[in-house]
Amino acid sequence: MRTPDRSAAIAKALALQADGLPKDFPAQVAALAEARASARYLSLNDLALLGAFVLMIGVCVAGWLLFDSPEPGGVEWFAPIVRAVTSQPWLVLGVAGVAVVQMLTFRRRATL
Amino acid sequence: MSQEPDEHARVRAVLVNEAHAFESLVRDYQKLCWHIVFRMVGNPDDARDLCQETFLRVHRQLHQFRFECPLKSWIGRVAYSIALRHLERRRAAPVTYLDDEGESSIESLTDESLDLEEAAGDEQQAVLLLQAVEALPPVPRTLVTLYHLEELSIPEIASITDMSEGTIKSHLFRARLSLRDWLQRRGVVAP
Repeated sequence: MRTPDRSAAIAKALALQADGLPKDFPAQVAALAEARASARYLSLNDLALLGAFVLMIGVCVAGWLLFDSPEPGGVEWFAPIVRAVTSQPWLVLGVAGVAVVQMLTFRRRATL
Repeated sequence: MSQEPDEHARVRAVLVNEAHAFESLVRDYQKLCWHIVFRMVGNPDDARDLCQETFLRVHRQLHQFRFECPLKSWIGRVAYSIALRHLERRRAAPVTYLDDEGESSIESLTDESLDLEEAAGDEQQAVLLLQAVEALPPVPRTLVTLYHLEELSIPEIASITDMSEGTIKSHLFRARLSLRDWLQRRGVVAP
């Protein structure tokens, strides 16, 4: 099929209609895009913060268990939890992973 | 397809968040975006929102742009798909002309010697021609705008709309027929 001829008349008629975007449209959109990108960056920061928090708790717990309390019975209440965690580490890791993924998915849905 | 020599630098500037790089990109392509979106949806308020959505998506996904086509076509494709999705959501089918009639028969029907050029002689006639374009279904009027006003090539339009070149040409021939019929019915051009 041959290529249709361009029509100056149609172009002229279409050019009568100015575009309906505000004059500061590029600046507005750029500012909005910047804000959204910052929000995405913040969520990565949140994740890093959560990781650091978990790490900090982990170090505390490890320290507590390593150096133990000199007082008899000081960590007794904690022992069943430690036993549960150490006997099923993969289960605990799995549950924690699912929880993190769920939390991130929820955050993503909430920010969209 | 050929690429603008500074396209890589431009995309890189946006990706590294160089000052005003994205703003300048929006300024250069906002007209194209408006022409695509407004012709598709036909409502200026919706078109403004969708243009904004288009550029926000461009900003978010620019890192995925692989320079396989010109940036202009890529942005046009984003705008077209957003407008198309908007029409689908509103259950407004982007009506086209194509029926069982063969493409070659459409071409033979369109005698371009009976031209529209006389229809834009003065401003009043040009306004009527604009009304005739607005009366076209969304997809053909978008194609007409991209081809005659934006002066995009058929392959560029094909890249934006994901239609075959033959289908685009067929739409353009049929649109021209419709415009002439519309104007003939109003006595703007002689039958």
